[in-house]
Amino acid sequence: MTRFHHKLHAEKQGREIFVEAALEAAASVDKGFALGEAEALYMGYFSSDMFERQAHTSALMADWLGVNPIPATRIETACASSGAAVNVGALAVASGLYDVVLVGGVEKMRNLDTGQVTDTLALAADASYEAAMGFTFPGLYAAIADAHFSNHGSTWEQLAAIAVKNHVNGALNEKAQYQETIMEIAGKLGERKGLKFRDELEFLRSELNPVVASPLRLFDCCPISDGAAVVVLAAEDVAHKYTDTPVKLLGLGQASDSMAIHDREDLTTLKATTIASRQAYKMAGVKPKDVDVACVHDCFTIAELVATEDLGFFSKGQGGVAAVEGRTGLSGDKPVNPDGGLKAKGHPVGATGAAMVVEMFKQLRGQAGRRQVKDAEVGLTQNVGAAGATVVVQVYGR
Amino acid sequence: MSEFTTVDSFVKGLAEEKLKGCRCKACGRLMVPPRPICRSCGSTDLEPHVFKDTGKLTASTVIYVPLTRFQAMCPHSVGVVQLEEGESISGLILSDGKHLAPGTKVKAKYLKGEGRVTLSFQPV
Repeated sequence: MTRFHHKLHAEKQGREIFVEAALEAAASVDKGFALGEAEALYMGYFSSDMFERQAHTSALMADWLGVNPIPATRIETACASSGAAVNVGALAVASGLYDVVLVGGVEKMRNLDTGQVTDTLALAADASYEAAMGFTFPGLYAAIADAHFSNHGSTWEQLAAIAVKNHVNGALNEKAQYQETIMEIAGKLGERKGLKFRDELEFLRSELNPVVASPLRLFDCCPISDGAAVVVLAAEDVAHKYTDTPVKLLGLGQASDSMAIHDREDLTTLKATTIASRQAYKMAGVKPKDVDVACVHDCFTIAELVATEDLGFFSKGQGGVAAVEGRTGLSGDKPVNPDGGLKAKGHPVGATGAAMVVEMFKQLRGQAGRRQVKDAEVGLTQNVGAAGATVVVQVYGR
Repeated sequence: MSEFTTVDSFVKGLAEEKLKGCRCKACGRLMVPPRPICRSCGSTDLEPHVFKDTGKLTASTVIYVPLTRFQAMCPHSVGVVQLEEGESISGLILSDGKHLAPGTKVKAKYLKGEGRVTLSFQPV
């Protein structure tokens, strides 16, 4: 994967970022791999149409990768686009039709200003019945937070603990957009304003962390990012040609929920996460307690809190408590988002699901460096489209 | 597809200051906005139903980074309202940028401007 960043890729198009990620994926294959060995390409790109005024980006990427004439298909399930591409690629391999496929995703968001990005992301909600009434994308998760606070007693301080933890992890990830802890950022921003902060909470409560959609403040939200991620999927009986230490996709799931959050019986849960994870656990033959490391879709801090409950890591209402207790930290009993999550690593929408797989590949092979989760044998990825109308879950093993 | 099940019929209903949804004749399920297929039983045997325009807030948020169309009224609140019939809908919340607690009773107000009507609710 490329580094995710808000400035680094300013002069590039999505095609160039995607090529960069694909070349890196090929170069990372232990026994060598040429892109031309792939028999199909599945790629996620949420909104090339709005961000780059370019459609048909699957053919564009195949062309630029030099892999014509293999079939290339773009998959769009909002922020879960490349997670869904991984599932589709896996199903294509499992069908027996292909031995090796490329899957990945890309998003080039920084061509637009924040207002235009806000408008574009809101297209992933119900444009007629949510955005038309003023709901932004952060607003939908803010309403979920409001309901969670009200029904389960969760607090903004618990959300802050998630942001603090993900920045600690992001600081250990050379691919992350933000490689600084929140205290380091507080020190820098405070210095400019002549302010000093005792601790993270004092900074996060300050005017330097403005409200985006109450109760969510800036540091509860993932940033706007450019980036791409690509992985190679191979059938089990040919994988040995490429590596002696493959990471195995043990189970997968995907579920849909009502597009508008107002059509859900319970705002404090993403039902599609519960269903998709149940499918993936069953196929993999594992239980939530068996998961050693997870990458979950923390587009907002509340999303990580809810995910850790819906995936069965903690009971309902305990996700925030667990975060404050450090249980989801790198040395906790259930490490979540060791790569910094969307919060610190960045969230180029269409690339995120594939980037989670890249992290899982490193974690399960013991190659995650300073952010390595000890003895990680079973990993889980959860990739969410918008406010949970699509959820993709995969379980990986060594 | 019956014309009372379309997005257009709901939007036109707002202009008449009505919350127009539908009711499934097979199972009785109420739906707002209306849908062409019952979300409970799958029936397409539906009839129009006009909803009461009062309810209570399930959840809301005050938006400080708005959609471009809502910039002039920012900060503004938006939320999910459970109508008296039990079904829920999203709407702009007219609260002068203040956060209203879940459970607050609200009544629909049909905000007109820029050639469209925005479903809104204000506390009662």
